[in-house]
Amino acid sequence: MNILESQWVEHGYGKRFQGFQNLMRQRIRDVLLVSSLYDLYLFEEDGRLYELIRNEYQGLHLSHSPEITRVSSAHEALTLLEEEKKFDLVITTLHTEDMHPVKFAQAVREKNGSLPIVLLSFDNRELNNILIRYDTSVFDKIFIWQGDYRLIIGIIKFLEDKLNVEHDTKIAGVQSIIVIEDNIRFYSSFLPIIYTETLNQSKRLISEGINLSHKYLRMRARPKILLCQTFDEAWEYFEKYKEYILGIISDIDFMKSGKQNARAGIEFAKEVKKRVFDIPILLQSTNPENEKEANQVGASFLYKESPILLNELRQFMVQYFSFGDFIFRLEDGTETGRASDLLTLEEQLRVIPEESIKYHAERNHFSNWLKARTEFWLADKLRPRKVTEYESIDELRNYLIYSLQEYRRIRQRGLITDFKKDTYDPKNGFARIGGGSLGGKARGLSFLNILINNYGISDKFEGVRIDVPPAVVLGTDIFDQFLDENNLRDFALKCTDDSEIKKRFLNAKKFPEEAIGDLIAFLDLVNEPLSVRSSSLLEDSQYHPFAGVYETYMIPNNNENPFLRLYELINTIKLVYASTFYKNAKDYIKITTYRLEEEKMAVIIQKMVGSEHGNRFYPDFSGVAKTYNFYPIPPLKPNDGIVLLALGLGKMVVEGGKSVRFCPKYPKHLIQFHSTKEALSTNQQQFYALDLETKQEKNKIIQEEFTKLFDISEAEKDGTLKYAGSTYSPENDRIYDGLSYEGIRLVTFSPVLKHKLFPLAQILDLLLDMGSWGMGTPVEIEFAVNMTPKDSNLKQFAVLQMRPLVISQEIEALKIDDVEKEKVLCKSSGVMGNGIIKNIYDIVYVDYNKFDRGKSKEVAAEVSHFNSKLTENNIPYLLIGVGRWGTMDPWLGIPVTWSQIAGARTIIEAGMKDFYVSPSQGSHFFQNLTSFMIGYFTVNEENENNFLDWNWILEQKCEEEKNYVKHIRLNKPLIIKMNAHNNCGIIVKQQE
Amino acid sequence: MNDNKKNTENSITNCPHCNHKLSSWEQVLLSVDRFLMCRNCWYRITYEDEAEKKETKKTRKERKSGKK
Repeated sequence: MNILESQWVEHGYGKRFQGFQNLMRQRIRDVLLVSSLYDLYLFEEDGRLYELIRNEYQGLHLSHSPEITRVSSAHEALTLLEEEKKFDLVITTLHTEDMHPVKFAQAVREKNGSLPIVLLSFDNRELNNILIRYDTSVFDKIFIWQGDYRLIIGIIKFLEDKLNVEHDTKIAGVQSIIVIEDNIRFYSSFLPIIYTETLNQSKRLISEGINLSHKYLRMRARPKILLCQTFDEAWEYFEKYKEYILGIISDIDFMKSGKQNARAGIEFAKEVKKRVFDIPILLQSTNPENEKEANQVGASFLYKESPILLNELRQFMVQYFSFGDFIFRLEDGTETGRASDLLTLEEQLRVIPEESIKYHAERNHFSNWLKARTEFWLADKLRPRKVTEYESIDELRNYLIYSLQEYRRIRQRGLITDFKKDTYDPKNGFARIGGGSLGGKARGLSFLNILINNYGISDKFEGVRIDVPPAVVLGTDIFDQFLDENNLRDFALKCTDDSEIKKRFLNAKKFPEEAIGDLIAFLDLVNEPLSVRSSSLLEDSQYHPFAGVYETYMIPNNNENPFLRLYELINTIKLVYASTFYKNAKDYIKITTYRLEEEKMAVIIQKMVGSEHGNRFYPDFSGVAKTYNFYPIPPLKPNDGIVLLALGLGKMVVEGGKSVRFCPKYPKHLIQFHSTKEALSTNQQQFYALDLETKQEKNKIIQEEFTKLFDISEAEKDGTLKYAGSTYSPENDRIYDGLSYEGIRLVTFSPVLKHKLFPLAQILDLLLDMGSWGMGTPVEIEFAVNMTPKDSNLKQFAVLQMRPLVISQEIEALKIDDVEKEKVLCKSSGVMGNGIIKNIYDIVYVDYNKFDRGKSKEVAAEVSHFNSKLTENNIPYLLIGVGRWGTMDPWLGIPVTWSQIAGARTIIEAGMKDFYVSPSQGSHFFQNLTSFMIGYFTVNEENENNFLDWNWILEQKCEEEKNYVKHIRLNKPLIIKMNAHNNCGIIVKQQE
Repeated sequence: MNDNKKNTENSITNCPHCNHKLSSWEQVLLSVDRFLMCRNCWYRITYEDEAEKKETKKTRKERKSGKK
């Protein structure tokens, strides 16, 4: 498969896209040098040969300088070759003490057929002697040492090119330069020059790479040198690689069809020009009279006896092989402009005269220059079209400019680039500001971006664009700089008052200036609402998602005053930084193996997904999808996955609010709507949106107030409920799809799930599969959908986050024995977790009889008190509560944060007196629960498989009690058994 | 209503060896990487081979019905 079919081959993900990473697979890594000590002394001169070569490799940004092993005798060499079998090249001089070099080479050939052997001579006369008397065809090549140690590098590169040319041309269209020279002295002297020039050219390209890996990958695609000695050898190469020949440097007098031919080079040039008219050709000769004929066939000419031959050769390469700047000229040679990279090329194309464009286009100079810079895809795109195909030169000019712009935009897609205002694409870009890590969240997003772009997912569904919203990421170095410049580090680590931390961070006067410049530039390009999210070093790792621990803010970014917009953004970033040190974060980190000092914060500033509806901004719907369903209801299986979906911002889902649950493999199977009673009780009645009218005022920080709750009726007025709504008719006690009936509005998403208004289930099914494949684990994805983006007629499915899920890997299913009911504290068929816990003596429980939904916040505070008390003493406990743990909706359950119950080893969620509460799998709380492998029992209704012995609990003597929550300590530990395979579990009280 | 998926004539939806249905992601992998191991029977599906077979079948059909 040829790279030219796709421009994505530069990025190395997926087998197909190994492109540049797969180039130069065969390398010369170990060289065996067979020479006398004196020969070595001649090589080395001022320094050790190895170091000289190593320095040269480093200077040229080449990796893996070869190891050189020297021996002085042929027998030693043969023994080494036999014993070690690691050498990729043998170089022998004429002074092998115990065997003639030709005999030595023959001996090597016999044992190691394909191992390259090169003869290196110091003296022409000595060499001629050998050439006349012996058959030297056993050597791959013969060279003459002329005092330049770079010849060794030239030899190595020549052989590597020979080994890799076929593969690299096929895979990536790498260019080649054919060099025809049969005079050993000549090619020995200019081969190093040619290589140095091509390698320097490659080095120049490094500065233009999009990011570091891109830069180094391009080094591998440097033009190859195909050194030939005869017409036939050269012609074979030309026939095979004609589309990829960058140029030809040739002698004039050499062998053709077995005979010496004084005009072989002229004939070669003529034949080449017949087939490809615009290949640059340089002919060299010791006879200056050949110049006229060389020019007649369209080739340049160099006089070999010129004292500045090598310099002229270098100049030819720079000019004609398109190394160096693109120089715009008129037909008479007058220079009209210069371009050093794609951006300046685009700029120049706008202003240079038409005649200049015509001159270069007719000769394919643009595509040749691009090829020399390894921009193969673009070069190929521009090449086939003739100037005459355009109605005017202006049309050609516009086409060239458009192609360059499009290419620059496309090749950045899926990559993290360094943020630059003039190259950042505000519709697709994903760029970094500052150094350091990008943090866990940004890593996950960037990885997703690459997968989506490299595997062509973004336009896989008709009428829908799947993407990661454009973003910039402030690297962790900015965080470090901010803390250090404002002396905040020690204070923040020690302070226990969140409001004090917040105040000090907001009042910090210094913010890294370089970052401010880039943020100003970013805000100049993006004036839509932004989400400002934490992306810490430790976040989103498999075992510690830190979900919901740090802050996310959303800001309208719509102030007319650009300084206020910047002020708002910087303050928001400071708030995210501050949240690294809040009590929540400190409590969370205590129960991990990390130290807060190790934590660093990157910040993602991302365009929000959604549309404006009056003074509100929100997506039509959003949610969380998981590859694994912890509570599958048959016939669903855990690996079928689960999605939680809500109208408006995804905050509703991640904070455990009301949402629609469905399986992406069975989107019409909506159990929560099977009964009208449950449908009404679980109905989403409010949605989150960004309030665009809340204006940032100087000195007043109100980031938390930007996101507000609105009634579903507002969504109906905005026209967004139509994608999600159904209607309940009390008269008929029925639920009707759509909004055409009068009645109570329900958020069911039936237009999407049943009537396929949007291919949500198929997209999620695909992305979950893709995510698991990419990460090698089950995953969880946060997403948002905008059905009417303002700048596109395609609906937008935006992926906001992807992180790995922790699934218990136990192989053995634990047997849950039958236990007499009197001994059972709790039994459930809705259990998460696997294994036995035998060391829990303490129970913290919410008194079922005293619990009042209106006081759930006080309950949360009391639970937090007991949690702190027990975790300080490293005492694990069983937590029992009423309603959903961790929901932000106090009417659904108890609004604790993770850190407030982090010491619990097992949690029981008992149903409220008046309604059933299902576990909220989409919330941050739930994520942390699964990652810390906390046992989780849900007991909603009492039957033989679901039971909680409240009477026994209430009879126990309290260690401490508060208004709603009590702590008891048992004399004998509970035995907790959980079976993940059938979701069953039991908690047994040991008798006194 | 449509599934809203783009259809490609040569997309391979089932393993040619065991007829196991390929997931949508597996179909993407196959079309991009040009080969895929069926997770059901471990047969190595090669995109070019299977697409060619489909094309040959289609051409034969068209020829028979006189459409070509």
